Amino acid sequence: MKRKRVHKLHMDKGQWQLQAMVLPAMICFLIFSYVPVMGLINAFLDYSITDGFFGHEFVGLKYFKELFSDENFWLSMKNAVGMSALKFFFTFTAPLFLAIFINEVPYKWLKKITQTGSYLPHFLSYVIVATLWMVFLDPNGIINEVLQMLNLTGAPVEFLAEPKYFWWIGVGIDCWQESGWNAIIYLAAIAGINQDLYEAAEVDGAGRWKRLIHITLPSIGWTAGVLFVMNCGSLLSGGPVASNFNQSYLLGNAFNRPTSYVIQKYITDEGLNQMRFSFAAAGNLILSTLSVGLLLTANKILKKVFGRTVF
Amino acid sequence: MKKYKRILSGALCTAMFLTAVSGCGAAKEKEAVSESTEKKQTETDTVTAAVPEWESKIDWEKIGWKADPDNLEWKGNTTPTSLEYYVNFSWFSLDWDDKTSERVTEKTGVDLNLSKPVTDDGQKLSMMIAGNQLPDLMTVDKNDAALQQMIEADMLWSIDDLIAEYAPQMKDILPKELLQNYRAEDGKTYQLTTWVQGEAWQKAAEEYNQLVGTNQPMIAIRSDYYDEIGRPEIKNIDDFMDALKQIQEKHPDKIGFYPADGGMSASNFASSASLSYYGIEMGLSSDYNITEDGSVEWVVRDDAFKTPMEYLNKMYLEGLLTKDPFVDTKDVAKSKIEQGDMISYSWTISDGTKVPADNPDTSYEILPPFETYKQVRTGTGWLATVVPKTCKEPERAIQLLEYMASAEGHADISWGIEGEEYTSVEDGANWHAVDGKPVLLEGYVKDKNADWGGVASRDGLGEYWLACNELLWNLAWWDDTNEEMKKYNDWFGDYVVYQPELDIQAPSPESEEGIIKQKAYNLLQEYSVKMVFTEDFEAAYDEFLSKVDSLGMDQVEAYWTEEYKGNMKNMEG
Repeated sequence: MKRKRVHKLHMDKGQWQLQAMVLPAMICFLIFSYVPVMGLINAFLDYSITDGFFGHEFVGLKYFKELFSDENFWLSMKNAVGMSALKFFFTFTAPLFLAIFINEVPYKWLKKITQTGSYLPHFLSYVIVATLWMVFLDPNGIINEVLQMLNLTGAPVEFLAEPKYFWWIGVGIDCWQESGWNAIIYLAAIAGINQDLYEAAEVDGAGRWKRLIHITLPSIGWTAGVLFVMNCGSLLSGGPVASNFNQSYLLGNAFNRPTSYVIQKYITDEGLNQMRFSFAAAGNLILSTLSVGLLLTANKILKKVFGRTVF
Repeated sequence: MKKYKRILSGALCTAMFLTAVSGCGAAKEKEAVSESTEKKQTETDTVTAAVPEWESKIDWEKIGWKADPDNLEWKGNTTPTSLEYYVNFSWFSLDWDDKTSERVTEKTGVDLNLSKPVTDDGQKLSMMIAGNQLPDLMTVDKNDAALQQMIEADMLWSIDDLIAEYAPQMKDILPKELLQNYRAEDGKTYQLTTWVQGEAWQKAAEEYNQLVGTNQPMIAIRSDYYDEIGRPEIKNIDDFMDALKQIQEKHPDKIGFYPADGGMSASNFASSASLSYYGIEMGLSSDYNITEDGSVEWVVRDDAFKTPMEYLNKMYLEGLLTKDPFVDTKDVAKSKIEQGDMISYSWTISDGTKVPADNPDTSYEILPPFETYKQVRTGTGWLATVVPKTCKEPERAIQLLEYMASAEGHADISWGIEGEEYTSVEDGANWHAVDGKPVLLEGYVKDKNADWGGVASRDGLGEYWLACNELLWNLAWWDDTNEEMKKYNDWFGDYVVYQPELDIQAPSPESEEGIIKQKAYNLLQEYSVKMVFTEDFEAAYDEFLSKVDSLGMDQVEAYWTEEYKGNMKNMEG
């Protein structure tokens, strides 16, 4: 499936107005996304806000050495990677299943209700989400009540006071909050599939399952691939919705700290809140480098699978 | 058709481009606007030039304060001008466009152009410092690390210098602590600290039964349960635990004791070892322990910390304490109290008499303080107003602060309009003198209590704290006829101690001490729950202490001792 390479940048005459429309966005990107990247150089400088923007002393790898010798850095890194990996898997697959499920629902009204209901949580502010779940997960909360009613547990489970549950709580909240929203993308892709294919398959005697496996899934494969690459870029901050920090900040406590303390929280606590900007920049540089690495790798994988890349 | 389309898309594109870059031009525009309003003001000012002299029938001797000197310097120059003023709090709700600001501008000629940040993450202030684009006047938290940095980088005017040059009489109207206790290393004061509870305040507060307010920490217990066990006297933590045990036998599904003030949250342990309000009941309310030889040690080494921690552990082992208060946010804690989930909780007097939902006929009641109760207050204030070196008119800035710090300024900015009859929020009057003390008019208090923020946004009273002297600020609100507060003052008043020397400056976060201190508090955060929820308290406590030692905490303690001694020296004058 090799595509012909377009060699010449061909532009119709009189099209410049349309092309120029992208300029403002590009300028915004340049000013607000690319210029600030230069601030990462502060990771190697002794930056102090009272000395202006330039001319700070070069200190080499001082802040990186400090980071790597701090056990809290490794703890927070471990948690970020662990929780993100879980989230990556579940928040990537859940919307896919949800979209297929919604698509297969035979009644239109049920379809609508399921879809609307599932993407509503997306619009809640994270403070509210966290408080809601804190109440749900309380020893006297609704989840414990249900578990006890079903005789699954004897004594109430202290979800937020046990480190071993935290990653799964994070995954659960993300799936609950974002699956519906992300499913919209898949639903759109499914809606774009040529209906003739289904009719032809039906005539040939393909059942529901066969149609799903051989038509729906291959047709939305590329969409999933694009999302896969995009998710890889934000993997370390907690998958597609970058929720690691919010969860750590709002649901973390002294009990679950061994699993809830993530790198973004670490950078905030030890760097920004202490006005140690160079230290924070060093932490961020590590994070950014890893994220770019992941993104490029994901793109390579895509090339292997589909023979083409996102960028 | 095609031509139209082309023109349209070209125009659209230009518009988008202009919107994108329009942010850069905004500052200039604003200047032009403020210039034009300035002009307008000059015109109107010539019409209403005469400002009535402020007279008061206040008995200063009884209050323990003094009347303003006759000729404060601010009166000498009231030509209209405009100053940029920045408040470093996103929640600050006013914009200098209400009745109070109108009054102040008319009197002093100074109009403030007020700005504030969008969020409270310190970013805006950091940017202003980094770009050296500070306003003419600024109010920040007095403990904000940025304040220290600005002082060290010599970005602020010394308040003493400004006073000496432009407003010498201001010295006489400030509480004596203000120019004494806040001196930097070079012996100068760079901040005008507000909300200071100094000697004068303490004396007056005792006189008017205001030492203990509704925010005083306490422990509350459910009345119906307390009645059931025959209301045994509770004088200390042992009595308290006995009572809780008796109650819990009858009500096993209830939580025994719940510190509801957020004091057991991880974020609190990350900055304090004083166990919040429960700590105060147990006689622990500072992170610093002064040893016999006058040096400072971290309180975690002392029994003052160990004993209350040990009791928390005992309560856990006896089933009186659950993990909830270490997990819940304040909102969740509040809802649990309102549901009546707990037998007792610690919080403040104003939250001490809640009605539990499962029995509307009863309520929680406030227990008298334990014998061990001790609240150390530093009384060293909350906010600091500073005059950056970028200030266009330091003379007018300090003179505005002089006016605001005077009794007249406080009357205008906090109490309102003097008179006998309250007509409306906008027109007052708000207060009159009774027995030589300003007292708010009943109608105004009623309206204010019904809609605190709403009234403030209309009349602007009680919000512009640039030079707030807490004694004068709240004087009109003090009501010594309230029997209930009188009782609480009798209960708690004797246990309140003022020790301003314990307001110890934290080491700079970049310094070695700063990094060690941060690590030590991280450790405390981690061990807070390990020490309380364990079968073997001693082992956990010893482990914690040895880890603290291995961090090199003695270095931080040496730093604290140095600062403490500096404070003592400042206070001696």
